[in-house]
Amino acid sequence: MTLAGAALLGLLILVAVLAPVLSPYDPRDSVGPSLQSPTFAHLLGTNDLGQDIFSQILWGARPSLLVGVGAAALAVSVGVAVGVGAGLRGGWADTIAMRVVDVFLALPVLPLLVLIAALVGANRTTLIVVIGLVRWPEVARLTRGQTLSLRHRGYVQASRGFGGGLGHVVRRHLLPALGPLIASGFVTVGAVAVLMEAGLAFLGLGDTTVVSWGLMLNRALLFPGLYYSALWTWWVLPAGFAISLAVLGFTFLSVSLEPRFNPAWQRSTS
Amino acid sequence: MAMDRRTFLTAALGTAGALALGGCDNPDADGDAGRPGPVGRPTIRLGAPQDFGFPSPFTYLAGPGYTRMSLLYDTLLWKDGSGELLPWLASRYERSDDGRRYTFELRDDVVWSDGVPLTAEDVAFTFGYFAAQTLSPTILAQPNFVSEVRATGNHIIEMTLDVAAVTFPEAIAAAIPIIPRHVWSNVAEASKAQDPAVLVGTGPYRLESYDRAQASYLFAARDDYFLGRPYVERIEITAVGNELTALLAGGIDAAGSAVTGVQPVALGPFRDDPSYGLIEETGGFAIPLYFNHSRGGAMADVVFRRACALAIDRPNIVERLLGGNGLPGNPGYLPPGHPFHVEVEQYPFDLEAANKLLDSAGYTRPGGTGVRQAPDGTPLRFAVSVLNSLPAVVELVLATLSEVGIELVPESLSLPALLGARARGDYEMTINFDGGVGADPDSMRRVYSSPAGGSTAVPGYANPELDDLAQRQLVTSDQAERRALIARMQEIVALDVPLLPLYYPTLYHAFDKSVFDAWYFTPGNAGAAGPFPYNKHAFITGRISGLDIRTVSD
Repeated sequence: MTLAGAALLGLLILVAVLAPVLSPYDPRDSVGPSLQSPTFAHLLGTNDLGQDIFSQILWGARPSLLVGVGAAALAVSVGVAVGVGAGLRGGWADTIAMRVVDVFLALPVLPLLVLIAALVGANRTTLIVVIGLVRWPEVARLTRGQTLSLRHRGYVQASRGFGGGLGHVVRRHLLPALGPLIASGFVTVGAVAVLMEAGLAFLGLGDTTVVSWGLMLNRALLFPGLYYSALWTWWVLPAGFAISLAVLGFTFLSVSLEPRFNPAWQRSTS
Repeated sequence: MAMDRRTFLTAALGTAGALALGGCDNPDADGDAGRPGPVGRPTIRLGAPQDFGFPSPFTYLAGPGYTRMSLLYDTLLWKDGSGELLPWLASRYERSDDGRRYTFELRDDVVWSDGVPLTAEDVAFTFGYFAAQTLSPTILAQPNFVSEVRATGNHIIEMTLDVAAVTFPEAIAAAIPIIPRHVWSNVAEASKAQDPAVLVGTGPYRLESYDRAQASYLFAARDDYFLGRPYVERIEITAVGNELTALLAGGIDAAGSAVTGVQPVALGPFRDDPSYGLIEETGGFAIPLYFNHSRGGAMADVVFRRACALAIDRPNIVERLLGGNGLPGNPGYLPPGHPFHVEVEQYPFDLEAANKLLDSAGYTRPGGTGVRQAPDGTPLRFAVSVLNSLPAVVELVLATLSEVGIELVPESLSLPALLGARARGDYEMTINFDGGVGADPDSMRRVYSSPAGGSTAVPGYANPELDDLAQRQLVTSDQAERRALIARMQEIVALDVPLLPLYYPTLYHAFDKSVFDAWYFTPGNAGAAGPFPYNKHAFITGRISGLDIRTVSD
């Protein structure tokens, strides 16, 4: 499963990076007749504006990946900082941090995102920030737990006993030990972010100036008579398939990493 | 009388049963004699993409909202499918020689839905009340031109106008809903009144229920309607995502294409199946691109606007977006085919010419790529407000504009927000709607004349010659002169390009013939509604013209 996940994500990254090279056409140009079924010139046909759907699928990997990775990076950075800080300091700082985590965990994420997107618009930066900011608490909770247990390990105690500063302990001992946990948190948030980005674009709340899978679905479903012919098979299915594959890639990785690195899993299985 | 759930269900089942049993009273003679026709008075189920407001004369939203309201309220005159004004609440009227005085004689057999008889006092009150209220600019029927209304008898009204507007009978007498004095004299702020109890009208239907969240409206016929028992017994409007698909699935009985137009593929199922009827109209509706002149800068610069016209491929929009189901926008506003239309400058798509024009006016573009800068250094980057369900047209517009260095940033709005923003002039550019292009050409005055200032006006645009022409066409009773004045107005707006009509979509209306078949697009629009085929006249009479009510076979 790890391999499958890594392969899917690798493919996604490859497509996103090489989109300009791989795409036969500019995804925004009207390059063929409208609503053409797949041909050699247009592998996945064209949409109502005569844009090449295959090229749009390739370019659509970029916003998905960017939001996925960006949000995951943000969530992990904040989550680790809070989790490790709370775990090491303990006391009132820990209590406050964990209550904040509880509040964030209780927030319904999608309605919140829809609200924010409708109010301030959903460009990629807002999406990354918002998804990152609502997803950090899970990472924080896990890293705090692990930090608490690591703090009492002999080598950490020893390091502190020999005068190792907080920064030194975090860098030298905690982060390497937390690495796998961080990796698993990263892919988990990434999967959610990809799905949310597509979901918002699908609802028409995303960035309308960037070609993305969600936006492709949004446009297709606004087309009256979409289902009266085979049109949907080349206009709707590829984008839906691409989103599914991307989410699947992140999910495979996270599911396969979790039992190895999540301490709760290790306790329950041993 | 409110209908409870059980009677509602019985009625619904009765209708369904009647349809299943069938009959042979199909009045259309196009060879479908074998198909089941309606038995009993039909119920028409309609769908709408959204809510169109509480159906009082002061709170409805846009043309579809006006249509709903017009089922409850009547006007002095009203149009049928021939486009002729029929006597409605007024049995006859006279116009004075100077065109500034009208005398209306009311029918004496009209009663409000609460049983009180209609009198001339109600009509006088209506005009006074409308004038005293602060109306939202999105309320389409507003009593312009009228300076005095007096009830001179129980059923006689005299109206005096500020100007001898030739459009008065159609634009005002056949558009302003008459409201009961005994209800509204107690209501201080009409735009806040949302209690169903205020919906007392003389109209052919009463509102049985309204649910804003569900966008549903249930109307039931008034058996005591003054023209007779309406042919269509019930009109039920509910929210549906896609009307055409809902019609195909049998969930509703008639469906309009989106006002933004449709590709031929969406109409295929209705063309192929003889049990559906399909009517169409081109040139009743426009999708214009507005420039907000009051923002100054490039917006107020005619060279910039002409360059935009050159750099937007309007025939391509019709071809791509609608598969040819429409007409490219005409800078002269009136669509080809309009009786007053004349040929004017078209600005055929030419990116090179647009670039040259922009260069010559000092809109610089170092290196020949990227966003241009105005002479004062501001980049030619503008927010364009668009309807959230109309993304494709924006994409086509901004693709070619970006090639000449003009960048548009789309901003999606809901329909009420979009119409409100235009009425308030709260936008930089907007791709909006205009249901007046197919009506009387006085619509040009409301859009372009600087003193008019209606909800469709272009903010900040003022051309004294055009203002003068607009005022003169309004009052001339000489048809040839009016034609010449309006021709000149079209030439001026084609040169000034205060706004640019992008395209005129063909509007379609598909319907299940076995339920109701007397659908028509009213020539020049009915009342203040746009070009929608929901004229209450058809529901009342079951016919396309005249006041004879179709008989029902039992």
